[in-house]
Amino acid sequence: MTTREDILFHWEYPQNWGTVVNPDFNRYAHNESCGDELCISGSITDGSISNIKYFGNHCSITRYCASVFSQKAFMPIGKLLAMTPERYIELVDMQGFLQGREKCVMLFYNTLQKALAEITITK
Amino acid sequence: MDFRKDFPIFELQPQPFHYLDSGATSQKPKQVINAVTHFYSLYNAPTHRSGYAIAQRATEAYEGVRKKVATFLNAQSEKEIIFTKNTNEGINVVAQALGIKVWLKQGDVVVLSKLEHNANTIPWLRLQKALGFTIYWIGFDENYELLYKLIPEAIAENVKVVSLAHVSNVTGTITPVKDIFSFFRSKSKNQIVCIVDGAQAVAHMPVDVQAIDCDAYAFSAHKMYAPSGVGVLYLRENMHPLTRPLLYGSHMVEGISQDLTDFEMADVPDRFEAGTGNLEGVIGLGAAIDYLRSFDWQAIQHHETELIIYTLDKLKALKLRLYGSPYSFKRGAVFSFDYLKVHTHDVAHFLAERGICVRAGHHCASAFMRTKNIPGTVRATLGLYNTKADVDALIKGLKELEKAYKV
Repeated sequence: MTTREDILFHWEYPQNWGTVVNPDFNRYAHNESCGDELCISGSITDGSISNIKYFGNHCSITRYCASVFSQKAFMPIGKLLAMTPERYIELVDMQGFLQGREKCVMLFYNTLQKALAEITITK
Repeated sequence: MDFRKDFPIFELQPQPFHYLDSGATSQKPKQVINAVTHFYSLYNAPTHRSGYAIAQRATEAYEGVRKKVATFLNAQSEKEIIFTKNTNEGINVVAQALGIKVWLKQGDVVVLSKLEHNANTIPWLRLQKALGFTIYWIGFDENYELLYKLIPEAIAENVKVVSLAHVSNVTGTITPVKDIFSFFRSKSKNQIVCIVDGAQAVAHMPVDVQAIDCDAYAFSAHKMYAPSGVGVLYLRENMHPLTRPLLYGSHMVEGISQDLTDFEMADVPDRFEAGTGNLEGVIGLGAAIDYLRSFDWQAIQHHETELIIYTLDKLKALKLRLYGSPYSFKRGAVFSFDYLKVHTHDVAHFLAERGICVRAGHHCASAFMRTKNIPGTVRATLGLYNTKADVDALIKGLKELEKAYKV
């Protein structure tokens, strides 16, 4: 189960922090209600994510989810697009943090879904 | 004075429970809860329509509250008191009224400040798009006081509306509305409409609309210990011919022509109260006014000022950035702050785990957030039921947060 210590660790040491140069997808999200900002960029090779990075001014829950999920996102785009919110929450192990923070937990998922949907439409 | 004993939630909530979010909505005293229960149990009936006993009683109680509000605000007459849904609706009524009459046009100036709640900016921004007038934004200094005298003469002479918050919901700045209105009246060549957003003021200080010399004063009942869903718009009588309602339908109409092609509007306040009102809300508002008036304003203000001084002293010792006047006499019980290294939502969540209820985010003060270039703040706001123990819990929680996040 994710603990506050886990979240604080990723707050200080976020994995995959940054931007991808010449990305295949790039999406900025802004949560007006709390001020969270997140920018996701990534590359795709043979239909799968081969590189993914993010940055922005956001809370520790958003950053934790981005840090953890960006390490698990190297899979076919179709599989990511078919992933349910429930499965995503399981993968980032944040069931215990949904109350009052659902928008923070879901920001990375929602932004990535929109970014990948744009790519699929474009291609 | 022990105000807290009147508020059942403090006994019924699991402990610890430190409610520091009264700026968003206040808790309700048993006097208000009982008044609403009594209304439903004893005389729930339609107002203004039926002649049977409980309908008469409901109407008398409803209209009695209008008189109480008029006295509470020192309005000249209860005809100047309109029941609305909230502050937002009150300001929309005035803005819309001035817009519909095309009283505002290109070249005119509407003055707002950068401390305004969106309730007092968005209605004007919407109208500006349609009518093309100019909005002048009053800035603030390092103590979050409004720099209204910096307005250029050429702009000041074209001012037609000045609409300001009495107390800022983000910095707690107490606006010297009377002085500012007087200043703009002396500078403009136009007749000016002066509007006050009193949402954060009415529960904390006596308000005298005649002394302020405003044309409209809007507030929400739920921030002054009354139920949600009801608000008040004071509209000075000389404004009545200028105004048109937002809602049309029953109650607001005097009569319909025989050929069903036209209608005559009722006078204010009926004109603005289409349909059945929020009866229980208004009854609760009356009880809240009775509750507040059962104390001396000085007692309430003494209690809150003591807490403001105490809170300011304690917050200044922490590593946070405080947005608001450092002077207790120039500010309300609103404390906004943030940390450079910790997101505001994380601060609020950390405190919530310790039973401390604060709010994080932009507080609908978008103009302030854009000016300071920050996404939001953490905001602790006090009501008359708060004590030093609540402030101590907040400070202890923040010290623990500073340690956990290595601030």
